[in-house]
Amino acid sequence: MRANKIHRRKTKGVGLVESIVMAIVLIPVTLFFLDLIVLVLANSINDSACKNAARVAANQKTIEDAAPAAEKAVAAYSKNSIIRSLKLLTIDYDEANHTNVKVTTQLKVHMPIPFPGYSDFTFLARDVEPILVK
Amino acid sequence: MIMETSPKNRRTKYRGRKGAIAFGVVLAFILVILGVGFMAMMLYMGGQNETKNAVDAGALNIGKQIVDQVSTGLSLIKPDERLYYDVTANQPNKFPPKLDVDVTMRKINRVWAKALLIGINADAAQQDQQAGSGVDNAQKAIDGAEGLSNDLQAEVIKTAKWRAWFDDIAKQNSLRMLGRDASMVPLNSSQWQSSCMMRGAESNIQLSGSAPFCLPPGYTLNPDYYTTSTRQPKPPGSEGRYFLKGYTPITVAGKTVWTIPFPYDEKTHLVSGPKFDAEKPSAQPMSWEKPIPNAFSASGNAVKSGGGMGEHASSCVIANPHEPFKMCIPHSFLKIHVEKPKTHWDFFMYGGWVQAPYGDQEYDFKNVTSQTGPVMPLGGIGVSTSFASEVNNIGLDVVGRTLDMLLFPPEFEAIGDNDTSKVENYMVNRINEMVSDPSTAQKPLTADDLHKCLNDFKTILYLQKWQDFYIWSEDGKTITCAPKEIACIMSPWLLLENNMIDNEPDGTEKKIIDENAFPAPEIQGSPTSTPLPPIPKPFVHVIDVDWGVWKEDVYWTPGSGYNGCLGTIRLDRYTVIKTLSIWV
Repeated sequence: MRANKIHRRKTKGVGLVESIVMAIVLIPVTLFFLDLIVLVLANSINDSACKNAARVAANQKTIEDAAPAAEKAVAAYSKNSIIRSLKLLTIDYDEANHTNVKVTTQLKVHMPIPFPGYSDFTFLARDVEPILVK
Repeated sequence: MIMETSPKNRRTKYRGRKGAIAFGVVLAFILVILGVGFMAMMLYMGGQNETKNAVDAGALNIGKQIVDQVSTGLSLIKPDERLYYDVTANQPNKFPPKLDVDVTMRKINRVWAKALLIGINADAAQQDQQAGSGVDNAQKAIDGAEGLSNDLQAEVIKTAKWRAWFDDIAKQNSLRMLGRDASMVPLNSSQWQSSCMMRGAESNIQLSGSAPFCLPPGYTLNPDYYTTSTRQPKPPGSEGRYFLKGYTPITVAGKTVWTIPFPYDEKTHLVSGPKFDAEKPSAQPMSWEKPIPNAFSASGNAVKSGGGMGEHASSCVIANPHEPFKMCIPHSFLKIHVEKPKTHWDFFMYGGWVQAPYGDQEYDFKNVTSQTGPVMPLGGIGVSTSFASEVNNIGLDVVGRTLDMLLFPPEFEAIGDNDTSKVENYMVNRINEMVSDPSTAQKPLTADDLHKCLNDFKTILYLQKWQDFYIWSEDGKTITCAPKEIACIMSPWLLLENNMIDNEPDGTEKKIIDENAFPAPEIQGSPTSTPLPPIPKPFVHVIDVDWGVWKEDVYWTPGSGYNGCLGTIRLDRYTVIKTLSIWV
């Protein structure tokens, strides 16, 4: 009877322990992938914002018009608790020859499930577009 | 009591314990697979986006560069091409002129528009039965434009040139989602396509004002040939602007003229592939034998040096130089020839007023003078001779007057049916054909501008020496009037372009104002007469009197503009001294 009790206690706890152990492994893996997806999406948003900013700038006749237009295009993207900031970093508008405009945007993303030492990431995107007006 | 666990129970518990681990492992595996798969998908989609963006940027660069970088040379030896120098050179008024001039897509509509305007002038002259060689010249001009257009089309469709423009931009764009070593290469560049899109939309050639567009008096442009902006919604600033329709046959002088649609205030932009394909000349034929396309496609492949899975994308773009032009003949002029003023002597004979067949005398623009008239046999009623004698104040009608006051004498307009509007209409039409600045399309030159130009006080001085005057536009916005010597200094192209200023209009002359008249004030003479022999009885002197009439005739010779001359106004101002002698 005693031996049976001991045996039952042993077998009852194993399932729970196994589940906890599995959870310890599975949950971080899941969260890691969630973070990765957030990173990829954030990068994609940064690329998209950069492309839009460059396209808008390429449709302006002067740098005086191009810079505010690009700023406006970038500002149209909303910020949230994950995307902390998205800004126009540089704009290189070839005003002399009207060849192309190069735009760089910077996006700072805060991980939804931060890992120690890796809570914030910064992405840079660069796009080159031909200037379409003279 | 010790109870034995049955083998069945043991098996169940064993399974349950191992099942949790297995479930966990499988779940973890699935999660990892899903996560990695999702990541790969996200990267692939991101890569697809990047590839598409890079190809779009490359295609946009093709649309941008093709407008200015593809060209055909303008031959300065062939007269039918040389005449388009003024609408193709970047600085046509610059001295010394640049001799290597290229015709590009930006300029080709201007070439066609100039040919069209020459044709319109010739057709209008033909309507007035004054065509002369205008229609032949217009046909030559249209043939010249077509030759340039065909040469340009052959260059535009060469896809080899597009590839470099595509690479310039597409390769600078990031493909990092596909890997650090991913790069963009053009795909099947020899098979890139072109299309003729937005048929019937406006070209970048604007007409002067609104209908009838300051065209030659009496000429009506077919409404199928022009349109307002076809963009929806209409862009700001497009109100009141009329453009030639693109990819629409415009028939003039028995020939067909074409323009490429370049919608107003629209920039080079991407267009949908199916629409692009549907409007290709192969899918939707045009009657233009060699149409210059306005839309272009390009494809690119994002490849990895390691040979991993790449992406490819295609883009279609419609080009637009984003620059409107006015339909005009910038290097052209209108000539005014002022005949030397003369005095004619009229005598009242039995049948009415008869002009003495001799005795006409010139006077000048400098001084008021007196002249002695002729002796006219039987120059009155009951007279054997009538002598007009000396008449004073000859020249008051021309001395100290500007060209405007000579051509449109204000006192003439104050009385009777001295209508000079016909002259004014021809001249206003021609001055609007010579101004090229796009602002003059919105606000054409008016009769006031013409009068202001002709009222320049310097023309009083010029008239002392010269009889030929030229109206031309120095800056494309305003007009100037001066004699040849001064005009050629102000605008050397009048001389340098094959001595254009000496060209005569190609139409034939017609009198458009016939004897506008005004009683001349202060003409004083003392005519005398001798009566007929006194048979059967002596004549009694009744009267010997004279008076003057200022008169004006104007002749118009239309020029198509083929040789730069848009026409000649010939002004004939003269004074008629009427002498009335009566013996009964």
